[in-house]
Amino acid sequence: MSRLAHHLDDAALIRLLDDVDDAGHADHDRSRLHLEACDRCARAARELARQDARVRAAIADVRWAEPPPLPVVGRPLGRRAGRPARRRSWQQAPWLKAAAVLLLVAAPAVALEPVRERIAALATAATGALAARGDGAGTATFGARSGAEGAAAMAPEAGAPQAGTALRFAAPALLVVEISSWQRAGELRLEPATGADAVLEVVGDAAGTVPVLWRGGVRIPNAPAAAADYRLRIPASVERVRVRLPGGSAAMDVDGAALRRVTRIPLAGG
Amino acid sequence: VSVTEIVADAPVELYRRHHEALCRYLLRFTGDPELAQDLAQEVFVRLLERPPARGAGRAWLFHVATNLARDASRTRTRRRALLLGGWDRVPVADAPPTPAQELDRQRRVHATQQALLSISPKERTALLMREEGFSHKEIAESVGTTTGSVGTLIARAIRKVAARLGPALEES
Repeated sequence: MSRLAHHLDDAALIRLLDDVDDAGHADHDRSRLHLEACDRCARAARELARQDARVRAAIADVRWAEPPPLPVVGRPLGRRAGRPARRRSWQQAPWLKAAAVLLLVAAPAVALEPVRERIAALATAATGALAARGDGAGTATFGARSGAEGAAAMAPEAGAPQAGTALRFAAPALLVVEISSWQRAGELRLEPATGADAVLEVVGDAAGTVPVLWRGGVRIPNAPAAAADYRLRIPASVERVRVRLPGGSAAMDVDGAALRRVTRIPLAGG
Repeated sequence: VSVTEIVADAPVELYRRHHEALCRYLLRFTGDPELAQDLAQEVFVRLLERPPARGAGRAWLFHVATNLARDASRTRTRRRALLLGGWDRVPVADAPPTPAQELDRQRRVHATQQALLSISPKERTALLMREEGFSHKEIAESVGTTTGSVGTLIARAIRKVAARLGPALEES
């Protein structure tokens, strides 16, 4: 096996470092032999390995504190009362409307598929966070429930805005609820659930708030303008609920007997 | 959309296996946690909308993610400016034992992100895909170069990042 006439370049050093043998065994072995015999290349290899280790350690530090939240999107159940529907430009220009209709007719069905909703369900299915239960049809999605419980929960309260999001999920023993912001009004209400799943309902003017499910629990990315109540029904399998309040406030733990009764946490003002 | 319908889809397995790594890669690539999440979601939207004819795998996901991140970095420079504006905006890891250690850690992470953003997208892709365990061949396909050139790209990236990290880490 012959020695190399030239010193090893960066590419060769990295290939040795990564033990990549894409150029064939002979070349790889020649590089290795050269490295053993050449002080200059050995020094260069040591220096590159030292820098590599340092850079890798630094990169390893850039990571998520916890698994990134799943891109779960709740499905609105209706339009909020008191807010008129936004008129789109095509509604004001007849020719645009005609063009839009033509486009809709011509568009393939796949283009109309609610892809982002599928992503939400995909995320949920992938982590097993959402349990398909209820009527057994396997159609549990956000905002869509089955049976009398679902019908009762989805029915708008008298005088209340007809909007809301409901999220049903299998909760971990330590269920973390993160609240992004203090609100205009509203509360987080914890109460025992009768079923095996946790259910989070958003009731009232949520100002576009859509709860996000992640492995540790649920995040409520609410805005200060929101005035919604969040009703979280907690199954018996949950041992502790940790509520992380906005603005770096200390987390509040609810456990033991407190989980068997209703706990109200005001979100107004802060 | 029913859960049972989705479970039958192949993307579920891809999502389960790679979503977290994809987010981590995109966080390091873009330096922006929100953007990283958006882009990771967009990758899976692409997968559902326009699945590749030969089937999608890990390399395909990261390839699409890299392209999206490059496009995003061209149009969302404001986010980068915000990130570079202060180390206190950096999302970081586990809760540290003391505030001083946390501060130190955030500085280090910020310095690393600055260093990563200072190298070319090609170098960053090569370095970060290598970190995620991709082979030189897969990296070459993703950045559009030969397998032999990947080593050069990686070495250049390492040297540049190490040079940027040197003074930053000494300061902290």
